[in-house]
Amino acid sequence: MRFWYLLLVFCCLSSPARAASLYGTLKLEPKNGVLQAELRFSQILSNQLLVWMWQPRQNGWQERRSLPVEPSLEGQETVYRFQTPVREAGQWYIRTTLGAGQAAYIGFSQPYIDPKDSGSSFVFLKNSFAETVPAYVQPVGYAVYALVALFAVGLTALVLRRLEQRT
Amino acid sequence: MDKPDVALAKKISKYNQPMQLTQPLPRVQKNLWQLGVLPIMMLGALSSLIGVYWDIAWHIDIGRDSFFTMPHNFIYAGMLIVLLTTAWGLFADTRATSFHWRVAGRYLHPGMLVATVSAALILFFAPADELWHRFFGLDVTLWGPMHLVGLTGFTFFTLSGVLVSWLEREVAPLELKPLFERLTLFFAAALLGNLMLFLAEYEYNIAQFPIDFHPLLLSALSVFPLVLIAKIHPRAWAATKVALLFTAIRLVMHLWLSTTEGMNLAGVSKPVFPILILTAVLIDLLVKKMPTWLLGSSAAVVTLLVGFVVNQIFPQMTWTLPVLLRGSLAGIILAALVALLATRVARILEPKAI
Repeated sequence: MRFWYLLLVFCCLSSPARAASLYGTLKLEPKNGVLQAELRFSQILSNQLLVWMWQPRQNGWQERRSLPVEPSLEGQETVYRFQTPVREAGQWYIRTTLGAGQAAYIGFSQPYIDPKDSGSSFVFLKNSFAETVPAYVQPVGYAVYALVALFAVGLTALVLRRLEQRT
Repeated sequence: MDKPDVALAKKISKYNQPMQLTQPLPRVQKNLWQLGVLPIMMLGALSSLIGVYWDIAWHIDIGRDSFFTMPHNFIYAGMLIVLLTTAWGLFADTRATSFHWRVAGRYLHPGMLVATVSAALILFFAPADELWHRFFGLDVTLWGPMHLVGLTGFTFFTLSGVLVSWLEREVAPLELKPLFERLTLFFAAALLGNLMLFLAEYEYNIAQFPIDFHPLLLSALSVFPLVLIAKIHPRAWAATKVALLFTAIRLVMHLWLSTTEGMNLAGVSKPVFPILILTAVLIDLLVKKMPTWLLGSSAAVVTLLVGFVVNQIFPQMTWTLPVLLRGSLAGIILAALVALLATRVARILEPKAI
């Protein structure tokens, strides 16, 4: 048991980390009280982008809007376009997530949005999990979970099978 | 005046003496409610639901500052009590009914076996999750591998509650049957709550996986406890009662989150909870009138329609058209399969002996 434990730790520490950053440009253009946003990456991506937008003064994250945004390809670039109502000038938090779960790249920007002015900013999306953890850790983790789930389902199935045979 | 009949008086006084037992009466064997196991399991199911939602709110707004946070202590202490109680219940229950298993000279209650293993799984998850975070850092998703182990443990624990209370009903005397029927309704509502717990990231509006999974899993997972209870329960409107009870539990939880927030013991985030009452009404109305797969799919359609309306009222949770199309189609197909599974389990649980 100790051997397997040490082997797991050795494998985790010895394998190189994955790529951990993505860079994009966020353009914000308010128009008639609606903020038109465009996030552009200079590479081809296929994931849905999740955008959460909220204002710091809002009470709690339940005030946040989350938008699923589909990608559109323009040559070698990937563009995500989304919009949200903006009525007054102020500080906003925009959190962007590309990819799923622990493999996701997460970006965070705090633009000051004025319904009358356009602006653009640089967005840095980071996968902090990938920075330090070898790529196989997540699949191994899910494989362990699959075994545990299989055990739970198997035990319940066995119990139900025996119950079916009761007289 | 007649003389008193001394012989008769002696005879009467003899009958007035307390009865002398020549051999002891057989010991009445207690069921799992009388042993106190089922009440603890009820509290465990309720506290796990409240604790996990409390924990998620804590993680969102306060962070994962240490292993011994208040919600963690609440969940793990609760499940430790449940594990000890169910393990004790396995040994204290000495009955030999048609469903007890004879193992090494003892009779094991199969439902209690699932309950004990599930509670052990949840307690295994606590240190495993802590180790995972220490080795690999703070992953930001509820669907991380170790978190899923915990969620699976909670789900099978509440499923075992349904099994235990329903099997107890099978062997209970007539006057106790309604009690176990009500307990089965409670555990079915807790099972529904735990299945919805898998969607907590969407309810809290902090989704880390594609939004497509929200309509898909919401419409499919909710079908299992509702169809199961509608199939096995002898009383009318069983699924509707389960959906109402589920809603009541979620309201209590909301109250708990507001109270802890007021005392500065939790974050401000609150989950939006699914409205499943119309789905349950449809299942109750059509459970005997349509094929199971069609019942499951129809229930999914109602869940999706209600979800879509809720989505319009609370625009934080955005089901866009592509999301709705992809998620709904898969959800309707999966719901048909889940309804077939629930029906299979219901057939197994049909009473075999009185």
